[in-house]
Amino acid sequence: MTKKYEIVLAGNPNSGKTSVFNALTGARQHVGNYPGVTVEQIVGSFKTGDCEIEVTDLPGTYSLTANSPEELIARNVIITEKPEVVVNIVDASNLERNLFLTLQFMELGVPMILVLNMIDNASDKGIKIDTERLGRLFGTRVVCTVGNRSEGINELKKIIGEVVREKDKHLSEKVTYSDELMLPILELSKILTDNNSIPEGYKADWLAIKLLEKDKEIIELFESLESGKEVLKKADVLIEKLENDVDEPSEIIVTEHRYGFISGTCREVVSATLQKRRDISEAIDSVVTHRIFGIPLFLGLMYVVFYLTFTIGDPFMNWIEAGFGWLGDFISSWWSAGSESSLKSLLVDGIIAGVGGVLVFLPNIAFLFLAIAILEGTGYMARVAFIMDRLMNKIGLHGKSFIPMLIGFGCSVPAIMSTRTLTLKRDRMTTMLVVPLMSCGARIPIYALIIPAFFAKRWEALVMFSIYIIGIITAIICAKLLRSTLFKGENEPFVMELPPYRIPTLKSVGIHMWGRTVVYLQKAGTLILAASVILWIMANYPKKDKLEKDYRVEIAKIEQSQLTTKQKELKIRDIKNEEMAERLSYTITGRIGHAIEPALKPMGFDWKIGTALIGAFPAKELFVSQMGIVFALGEIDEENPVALRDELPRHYNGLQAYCIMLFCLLSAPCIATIAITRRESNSWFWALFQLVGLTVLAYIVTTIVYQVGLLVQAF
Amino acid sequence: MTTTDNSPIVSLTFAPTGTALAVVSTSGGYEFQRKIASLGIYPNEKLEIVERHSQGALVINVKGSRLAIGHGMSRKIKVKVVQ
Repeated sequence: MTKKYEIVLAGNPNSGKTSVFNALTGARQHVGNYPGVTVEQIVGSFKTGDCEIEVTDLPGTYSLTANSPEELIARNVIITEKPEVVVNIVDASNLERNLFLTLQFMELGVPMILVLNMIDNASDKGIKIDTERLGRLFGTRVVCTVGNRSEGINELKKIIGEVVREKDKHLSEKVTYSDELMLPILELSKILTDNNSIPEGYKADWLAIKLLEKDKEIIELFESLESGKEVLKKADVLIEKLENDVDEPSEIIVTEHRYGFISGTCREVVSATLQKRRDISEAIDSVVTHRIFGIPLFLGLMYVVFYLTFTIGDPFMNWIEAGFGWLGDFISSWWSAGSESSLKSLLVDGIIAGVGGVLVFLPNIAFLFLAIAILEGTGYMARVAFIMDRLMNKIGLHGKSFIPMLIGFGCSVPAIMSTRTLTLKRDRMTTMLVVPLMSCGARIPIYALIIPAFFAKRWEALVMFSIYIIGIITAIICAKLLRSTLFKGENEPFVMELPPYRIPTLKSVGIHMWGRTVVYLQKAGTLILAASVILWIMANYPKKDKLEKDYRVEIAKIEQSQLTTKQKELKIRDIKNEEMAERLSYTITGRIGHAIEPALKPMGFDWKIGTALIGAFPAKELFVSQMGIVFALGEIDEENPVALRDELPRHYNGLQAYCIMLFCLLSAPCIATIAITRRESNSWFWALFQLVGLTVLAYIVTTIVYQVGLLVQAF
Repeated sequence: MTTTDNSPIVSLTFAPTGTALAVVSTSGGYEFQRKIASLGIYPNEKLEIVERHSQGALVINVKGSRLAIGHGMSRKIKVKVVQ
């Protein structure tokens, strides 16, 4: 009989935790979110002997205080879900800092296995660790591994199997600090026990340490308890005495004692044979984080990433397009030629065209995810955040906000997903809300349609550039506004570890990219499907029974005329398009377009533009094909909309054209973006706030530009 | 805190690059203090400035790892030269 056990993997960021997790579980993993927060929860499983082990990869943390959502989650999972064992991954080449977290697991008194990962790095640096002795001091089993080469993983599996079956034997040693700190801990612990005020699942000693450390969450917990007020009062007395004795804040005293315990341990188990020398990472950093070359180097690198995204993505995009085209034709073939079936139209024009129109971007998005995974895996992203911090601070954001904003030029979806690295909610929300203002790849077809149609060749580049700059400036203004109103608060202090550079393994990069791509497909996919159906209904109903002309008769007339086949084809196409346009203006979409025309007037738009804008909601580039339909030009090739380019200047002037681009840049993001914002912010409110806020903003800005433009033209 | 030698206490912003420094005190609210402490910056611990950027942004070595510290943070950390 197989028995099931649940364990957790915990450790510092950059300790190689994820590589151990991947080596343990392989592809058998599943990415979700912790309930209520948007910290990624990754669960996987493996078998050892007759045990089935389910592993949760806890977020990487340096500590278990209530400093960040990650730290809170890590400790609450351990306290409330009581895993059979905590597998603590530490970077063997940096034992002292890593054991700081280990010690806090010991304070919690949970069964633990200590994994000395990247042991090869440690020996390269001349660090020798007496694992047996370390195990005896801490009361845990110790395993040495090299996660990214799967070394030591089988032994780790075996030991996990042994420990889960008799976990009581593997409770880590109790940590004893010197009297200065230990006495107040024991005294407070006794007060808690005597008062009978230990909340379910907690241990007295641990609570005592947390209270002495002024842990926000634990203090709040006691404030909510009946007997808690008294405990807090007594804790305050002890804290005051401690702080008077040592002349330092109590939370620092606790930290110092922890590190004291660790350096004592290290002195006994670690022997270093080599002197520390300048390593490769330091050499790379002297260029990469250079105060002058750092930023240009990074911009160059990002240029390469975007260039590759669109060149490598292109053939795949064509395949997907061809695939959906084929699928559409195939499904159409179920009906006899010329028959008008609503079901066929729903399937082909609604669902396949709608979902296909968005899925076409999948290769680009997947490639951006790949690039992010590689840059994260090497450790470069931490450097970028650092060199950009000062600039970002000026607009009230954190250095880490820069990456999402930049990825936003490719696609808002991966950009919003990459805001996860921001720990403070106010930084994260602000970034998420302004990311769509970075002009994404899907807007390029719109610019490519309009700019050559309306502007002289020598102005083309400048017009395009101005659109991008307006997006950036608006994002900066909005970020500043949000940070001084809805998301008030000080800037988060920037302190970040710069991990040694590493070459990420193919496996870890693959798993990362795949996991995020699947999330995109699932979450965005379902909503896009629903939206496609709704928009199809809006664009097809109500049906107009009595058309102004009998188009069939007209077509028949042409067919019987003396024209050449080529001329006939063109004429018939014109007639069919005319019919399509007439039908469209009768539908809900067409009517909304007409109805909002007065509201659109200040921006210089007519109902045709309004109708196309509504149709472009699932994906921005659909605007081009929608314009094709309202102008009765039929199917428009988004890549090369020649007919439309000739047609548009007959109806609009340059100012109106510019306003169209401006509105497309600033207004409501696409459905996929809204779906991801809803998922990442965990609230419909913020998703709708983004939708409405940006649309109102676009309306105001475009109106101002159009009206001022009119005035200028008048002079 | 008692100091036996007479090297002056300065904020990290103005401390020399490439020499061993000892943390004397940190300020800036206990959450910030606890956060940097968990990364290894707390009183009496040694550190070294590796690289200096504009407006007091720094890269330092502490406890065998490299930390990037944003501008504005370095003045909340007081240090003195270890002799």
